[in-house]
Amino acid sequence: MTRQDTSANETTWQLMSWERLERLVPLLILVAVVAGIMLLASQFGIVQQRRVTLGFISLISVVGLYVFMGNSGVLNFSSVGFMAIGAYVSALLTMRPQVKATFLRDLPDWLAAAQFDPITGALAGGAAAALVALVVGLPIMRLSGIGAGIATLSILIIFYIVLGNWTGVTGGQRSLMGLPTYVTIWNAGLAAIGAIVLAFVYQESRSCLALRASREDEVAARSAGVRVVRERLTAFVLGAFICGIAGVFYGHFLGTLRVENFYLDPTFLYITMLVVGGMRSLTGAVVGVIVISTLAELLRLLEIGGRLPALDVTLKAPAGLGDVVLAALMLGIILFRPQGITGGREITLRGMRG
Amino acid sequence: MSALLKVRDLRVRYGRITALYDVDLDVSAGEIVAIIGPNGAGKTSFLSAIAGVVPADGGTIEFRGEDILRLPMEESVRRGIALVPEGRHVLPGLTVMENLRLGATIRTDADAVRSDLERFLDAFPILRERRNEPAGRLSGGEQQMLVIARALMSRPAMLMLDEPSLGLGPRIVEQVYDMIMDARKQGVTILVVEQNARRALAVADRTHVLNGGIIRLSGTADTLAGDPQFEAAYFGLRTAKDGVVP
Repeated sequence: MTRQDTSANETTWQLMSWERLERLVPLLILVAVVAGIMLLASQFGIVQQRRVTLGFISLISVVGLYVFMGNSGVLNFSSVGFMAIGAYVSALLTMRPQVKATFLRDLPDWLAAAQFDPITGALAGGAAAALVALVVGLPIMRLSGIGAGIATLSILIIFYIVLGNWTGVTGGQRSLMGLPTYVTIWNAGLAAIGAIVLAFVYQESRSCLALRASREDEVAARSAGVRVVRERLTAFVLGAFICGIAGVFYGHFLGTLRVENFYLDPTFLYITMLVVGGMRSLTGAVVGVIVISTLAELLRLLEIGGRLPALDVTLKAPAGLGDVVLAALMLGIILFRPQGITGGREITLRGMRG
Repeated sequence: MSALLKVRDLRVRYGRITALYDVDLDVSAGEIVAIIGPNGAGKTSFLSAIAGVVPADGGTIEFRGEDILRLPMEESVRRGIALVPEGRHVLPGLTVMENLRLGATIRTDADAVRSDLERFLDAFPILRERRNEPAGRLSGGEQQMLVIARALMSRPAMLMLDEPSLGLGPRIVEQVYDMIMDARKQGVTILVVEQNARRALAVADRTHVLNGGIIRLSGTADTLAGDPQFEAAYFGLRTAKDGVVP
C-alpha cells in the first residue's frame, strides 16, 4: 500500500468516527434536557416536584411505547397493560409481609413471607412484563394496521379483566395499598434517562434498522432478508420491559394500585403524547411528553381557577376543558401535521435531522 | 454444466387468472439471462415466484440443487437470490446509508460489509454526497442505483431485476446497465426482466420471449433478431407454429 492510500484511508476513518460521534448528539441533547428539568424542578416545592416526577413516569412509559410503535409503525394499545404487570409484580415482591397479610390473604406462602429490595422488585417487574409480551406477542406480530390495533386493544382489555378479578393476588377491584413509596424526582429522572439511553442504543442497532425498514416498505425489507415478525417481537418485548419499569415507578410513587389506573385513560394520554410529539423519533416521544404534560398542567390550574394579579382579573375555566383541549390538539396534529411536532426527526445541533 | 437455477412446469395463478403456464427455464452460473415480453406477459409473476413473493401453484424451482419453491422471500435472499422489484422500492424515510446497510442484513462479516459500502460510495459519488439524506429525496435514476446497490450488498449468487430501465432516461438506463454488467464481472449471475427488448437483447447471453404466461421463443440475441417468429411471439400475433396465442 502506498503512502497516499494510507492517508486517504485515515481520512475516511476519521470521517466515519466523527459521523459516529455525531450520531450520539440527539441522545446527549435529550439526556441534557431531562437532567435540566430534573435539576430545575428540584429547586421548587414538593407539589411541583411531584408533578414533574409523574411527568418522568409518563416519559418512561411513552419511550416504551415508542420503541415498538414508533419503529415498527404498528399501532399498539397494550402498553399500559404491561405497566400494570410491572407495577403489580414489583408491589408483591417489595411490600412488607404484614401489609400483604392485611390486603392479600390468599397469596402463596413463599410470596406472602418474602420481601425483596426495590431494585430486585423493579427488575422483576420489568422482566415479567417482557416475558408476558414475548408470549402474547408471538401470535399478533404478524398483524399490522387495523388488525394490530384491535388485537392490542384486546390484550389491554384481557389484562384489565384478569387483574381486576384475580382478587387473591391483586386485591381485585379494591385498591392495593401499602407499597413502599421510594420514588423521588431523582430516581424517576434517572430512570427516564435510562429509558432514553436504552431506546437510543436499540434504535442504532441493526435489528432496529431492519424494523424501521419494514415500517417503510415491508416487501422491500423482506427482499433484503428482514424477518419482520422476529424484529417486531424484539421491539415489542423491549418496549414492554420499559413500560413495566414505568409501572413499577408509578406504583411506588402513589403507594396505591388500582386496576382502573391501567386502562383507557392513560392509554390514550400516552398515545396522544407520542403522536403529538412525532411517533417516528425518540425526540418526538420526549417532546410530546413535555408539551402535553406542561399543557395539561396549565389547563388543570386554569380549571382550578386563579387570579392574575397584574391584570386584576380572575380566571376560571369550565371543568373538562383540559381533556377537550388535548383531544382537539391530537385531532389538529393528525389533520395538519401527521408526523407530529418533530416531523419524526431527531434533534441535532443544527436543528432537526432527517 | 449444471444449472444454478432450474425451473420446471412453474404455474402461478391469481384466483381464476393464470399468469404462468408450466414454464421451464434454466439459468447457469455466470450467465445473463433476459426475459422479455409485453405488459402482462407474466414476467413479474415469474420473478416473484422464484423470490417467494407470490406462492407458486405448481412445478418445481431448484436453486443450487435445493428446492426453494415454498421458501418465503426473506429466506430466499439467505440462499443467495436477490430481487430488485419493479418500481424502485427504496425505503424513503431511511437515509441512503441506512438503505445500503439494510442490504447487508443477512451478512455477519462486518469488515467486508464496510468495504463493500465504501466501494459503492466510491462508484457513485452522488450517493456518498447524499448519504445522510432520506432516500426518498433522490431522483428516480439515483433511487434505481441505490436499490441495485442495496441488493448487491447481500452478495447474492443471482441478481434478479424487474424492469430496471422502466421510466428512466436513456443516459440513466446506460448507467444502470453498466452497473449490472459490473456485477456480472464480479461473478454474479443475472436474471433480468424487461419490456425494453432491445436493451435486454444487447446484454443477455440468452433471451426468452414470454407472452401470455408461456415462453414463446428462446435463443441468443443473434438468432432471435433473425427469427421471423420474433415479432409475432413478442406482440402475441397468431402464428402457424403456435396456434394458442391468446
